[in-house]
Amino acid sequence: MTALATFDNLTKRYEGGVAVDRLSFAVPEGQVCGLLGPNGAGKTTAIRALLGLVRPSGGGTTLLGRNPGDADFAASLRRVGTLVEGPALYGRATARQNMLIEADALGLESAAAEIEDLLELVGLSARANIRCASFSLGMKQRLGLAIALLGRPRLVVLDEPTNGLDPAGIVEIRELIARLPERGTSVLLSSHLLAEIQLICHRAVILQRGGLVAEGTIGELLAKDDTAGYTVSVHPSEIDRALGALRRAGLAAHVQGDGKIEVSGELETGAAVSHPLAQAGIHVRELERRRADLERVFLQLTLGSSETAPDERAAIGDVGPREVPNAA
Amino acid sequence: MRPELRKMVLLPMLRWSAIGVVAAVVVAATAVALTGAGEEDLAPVFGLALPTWLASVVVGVWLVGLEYGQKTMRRTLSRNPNRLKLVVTKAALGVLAATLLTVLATVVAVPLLTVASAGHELQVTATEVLRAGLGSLANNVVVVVMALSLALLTRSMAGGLAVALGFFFVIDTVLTAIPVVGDYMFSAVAGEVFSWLSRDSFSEGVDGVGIALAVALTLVWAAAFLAAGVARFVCSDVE
Repeated sequence: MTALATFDNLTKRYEGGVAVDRLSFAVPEGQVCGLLGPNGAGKTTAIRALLGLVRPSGGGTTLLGRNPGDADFAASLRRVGTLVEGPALYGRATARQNMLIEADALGLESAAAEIEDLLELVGLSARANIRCASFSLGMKQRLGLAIALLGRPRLVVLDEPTNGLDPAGIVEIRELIARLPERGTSVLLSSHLLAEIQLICHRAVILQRGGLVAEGTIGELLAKDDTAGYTVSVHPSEIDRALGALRRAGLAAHVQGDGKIEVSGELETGAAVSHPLAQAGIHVRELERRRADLERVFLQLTLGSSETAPDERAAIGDVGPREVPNAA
Repeated sequence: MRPELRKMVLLPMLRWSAIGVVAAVVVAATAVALTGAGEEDLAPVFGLALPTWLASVVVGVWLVGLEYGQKTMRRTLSRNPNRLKLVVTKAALGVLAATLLTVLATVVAVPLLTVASAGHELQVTATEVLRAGLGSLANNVVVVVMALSLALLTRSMAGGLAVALGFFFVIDTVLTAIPVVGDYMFSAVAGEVFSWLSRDSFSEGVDGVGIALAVALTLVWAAAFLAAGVARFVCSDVE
């Protein structure tokens, strides 16, 4: 699969420390790729380096096959839409005028129809002639997204695109982003909203203290959730027998603080849990499925590795400096 | 060039500046009509040279300060990553804007100041106003580049304006008072160029370092400011 953007051992040091530490991953074409990490993890610095706004201290990035130092890097940037660190708008200009400025920057000769389509797409047609200074944060986000999508880019880099939107707006924009690959636009999405990433991303990259702690498809990441499985409730007098029955069936089971039994592992259906209990003549009062959750994976990986240096993380097998796929 | 030109046309700063310089000419003409033209060059200097000079400083700072104030510099650079080219484009537009403002003010000032002074003993002639406009133009195209450079150094609209006005009105003025060294300060050499262009005859001499050296030094001042601004802009990260 072609990589539209690559990070190859990217390192960025500031006087106060390391913002990005030997970061390597690729954003494949035709997908929505999530970039996750707690505050200060280095997500925005990595994006800035990708766009040529900051100079790496080591390693590098490519965008549509070109490095930020290349003479024709502007050609790559013209095929990439960005919404980084909030919408960058000229407050004294109207929504339509902001888009006209962007169309000029992209060298689009006749963008009027596309501008109208995009304003309609993000729900700002009725406010196209209003100065942006009077917009709410949600409206600015919508306009920022419309600007990022101008010129049908191959890749859009979005940093917290649903920030400031109301619940209905969040769902609307989330669905729009999820459909972008169908329009030929791949997405690199940086977000704190883990549910958002889980819902709309094909794959995700998790950063912690500038380094990469995990990367993969959402399914692969969810598989790291070792708490996924079932919670089963039996009569208190039968807990020990139930534990024995489950363990004899080859299941990992232990008693939680509330007296319920937690059964972990990749279990196809609840029958895998209820069947051994029924065979042992134990009555199941309640059986609840606990689905794998990206939030738990994120917390396990980021909190669990907060005191772990990148070298140590590589040693335990999560990730490490490595080669990235061929760039576009 | 096109997106930068579009910003200048769509955003109101240039229009406000134009209204400002025209208003200054009208106020000066009204004062001349009521009290007379006063001493030699007073009306063209206060009605034309000073307002266009101030407008050039504001426009120069705004061209760059706008991007930092609105946090649009990263958007601009993520379309046009060649920072040197961006500065050159903005400087060229600044020169164009300063020229337009000075020409507009001169065109308005010629009839207003001559008519306003007609009833008084000391009259302002159209030639005097045109020459003052020419002298202002020579100064303003340099000042706009210096102001833009200061905004690149301070990376803000307010900071750029404060430093620009502080430099031109305080630092430069104070240093100009120093014997010998003062003759080479910006306001001294720029003033010499203005005086030479706005006199009745170009052959008349003016006090100072001489017109050829004054022109050269004015350009050196602008180049030094621009080099410092470009160096900071090109070599630093964009927040």
